[in-house]
Amino acid sequence: ILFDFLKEYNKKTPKRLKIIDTFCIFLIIVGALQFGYFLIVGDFPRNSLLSGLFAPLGTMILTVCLRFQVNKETKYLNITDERAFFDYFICLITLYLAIVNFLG
Amino acid sequence: EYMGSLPKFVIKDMKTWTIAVALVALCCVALANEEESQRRRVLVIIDNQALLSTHSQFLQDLTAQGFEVNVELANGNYKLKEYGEYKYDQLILLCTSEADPRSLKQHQILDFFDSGRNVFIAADVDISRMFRLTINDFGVEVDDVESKVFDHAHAASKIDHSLFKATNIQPFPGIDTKVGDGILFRGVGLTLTKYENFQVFGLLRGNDFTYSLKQSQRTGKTVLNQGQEVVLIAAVQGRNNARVVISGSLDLLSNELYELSKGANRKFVQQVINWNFGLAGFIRATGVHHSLQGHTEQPGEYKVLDDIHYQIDIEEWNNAAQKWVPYKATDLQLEFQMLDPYIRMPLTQKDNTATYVADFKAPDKYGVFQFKLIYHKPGYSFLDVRTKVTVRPFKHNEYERYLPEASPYYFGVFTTIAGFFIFAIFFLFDKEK
Repeated sequence: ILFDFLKEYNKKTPKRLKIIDTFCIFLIIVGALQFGYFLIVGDFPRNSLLSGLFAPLGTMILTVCLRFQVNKETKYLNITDERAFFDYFICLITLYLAIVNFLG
Repeated sequence: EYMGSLPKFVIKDMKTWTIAVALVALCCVALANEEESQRRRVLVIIDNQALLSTHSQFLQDLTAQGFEVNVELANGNYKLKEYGEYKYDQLILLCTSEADPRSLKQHQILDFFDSGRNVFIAADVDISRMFRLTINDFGVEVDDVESKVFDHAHAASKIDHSLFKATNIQPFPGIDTKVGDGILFRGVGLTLTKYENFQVFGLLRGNDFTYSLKQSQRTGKTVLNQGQEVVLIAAVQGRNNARVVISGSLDLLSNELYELSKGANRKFVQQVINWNFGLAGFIRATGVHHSLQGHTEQPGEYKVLDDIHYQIDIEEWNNAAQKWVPYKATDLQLEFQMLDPYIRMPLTQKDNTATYVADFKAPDKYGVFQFKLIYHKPGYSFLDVRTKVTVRPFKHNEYERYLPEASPYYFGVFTTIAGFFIFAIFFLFDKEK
């Protein structure tokens, strides 16, 4: 079943969505690594822990939203791809602003 | 109008002016010297005139040691206090048989002690009930009426075995533990209070062969106490550092035993009186100062994990040199306490001066702490010096800026941001539609 799913996935999805998906997988890996470090060392710099976990998590949430916007089947609000990406970019900037401030 | 209401007192010439200034200066000098002559006035109370001759060497020694001795009969008319101020600084009671001295009551003796003045009481086999109760208030009990201390192994006379040599002296500052052949003693035994006490000591105790025997017609012979439990001379030091010495024998001070012991009794009694009246083993703590290490001013509060430096001057009165000299000891201990002592460390002497210093790091807790120096060494004055200080937590901007332990998180966040930029580049410049 897994192979069939992967074959369909490769055929059907446009390249843009595939880029988004790889980015998501990369973010999951980064988040898992940070979580793994937390499990080993514990709660020490709690602020740094929170911002380190939320960066990939928040980015992933926003990226999934972007995927919704860009995908022709699940699009809503009828805006262009560029506009969607621009919204995504602004949201991410805000997110990173908060996260980098919270790191210390 | 205002000027008119002032008294018409005008010093017209230089002569009265200089006389007035001289009088004021004299008063100041007199008040200052009061501290020096403070401990010199001794009142000796005896119960009969014969003591003046049988204990003459004892009284002479007192004068030779620099005291101003006043001898009064127990039934005489004397007052400890006059107009609310004490006339005497030390009290020697040699009036054991006096049932109820007319001018001296039990509470007067206790008030005298409470005011910080020292007392020497000579008990003996015939001591009266009033003095027994007074001695009880000091934490010592005199053995029952009709009891005496015997020691057959160290007896000094063949017929009377209640006269014996005692050598078990507790090491006290200024008192030699080995004096001559031993102290000759004839009298009644004492018992110290049973409770754990840092204030009551057995200065001279019996050795293994000593025992206190009660011989009465009604109850026969009973041994009340034996061995080292029999205390011959007891010493008590109050929390106000006033000292009481209770001797179980009046004959210890008599000329007869002075000669029989070949001067050992005399030397021992001189040393005991020195200790009793605060001339030996008297220490004081002054000059408490704490600061951050490397600084000199004393701050109002410290921060958690600060390096603190504490110093204090401890001096001992040296009677031979008549001045305060630095006190030498290695067992002084400083505590830094908030409900529990977080730090407990020894104080080290700095270069043979009177200053003792301690350097330590404040613990990782914030709150109100106390520097405590409590020193109860037997024979020395009690030291209890406490200084309160606050320790505050870190201010908002006093934390470490970058923590090396958090670097995986730093790395993760910046990787995410870098990843986003790479993704953006791929996403935007992808030519497929």
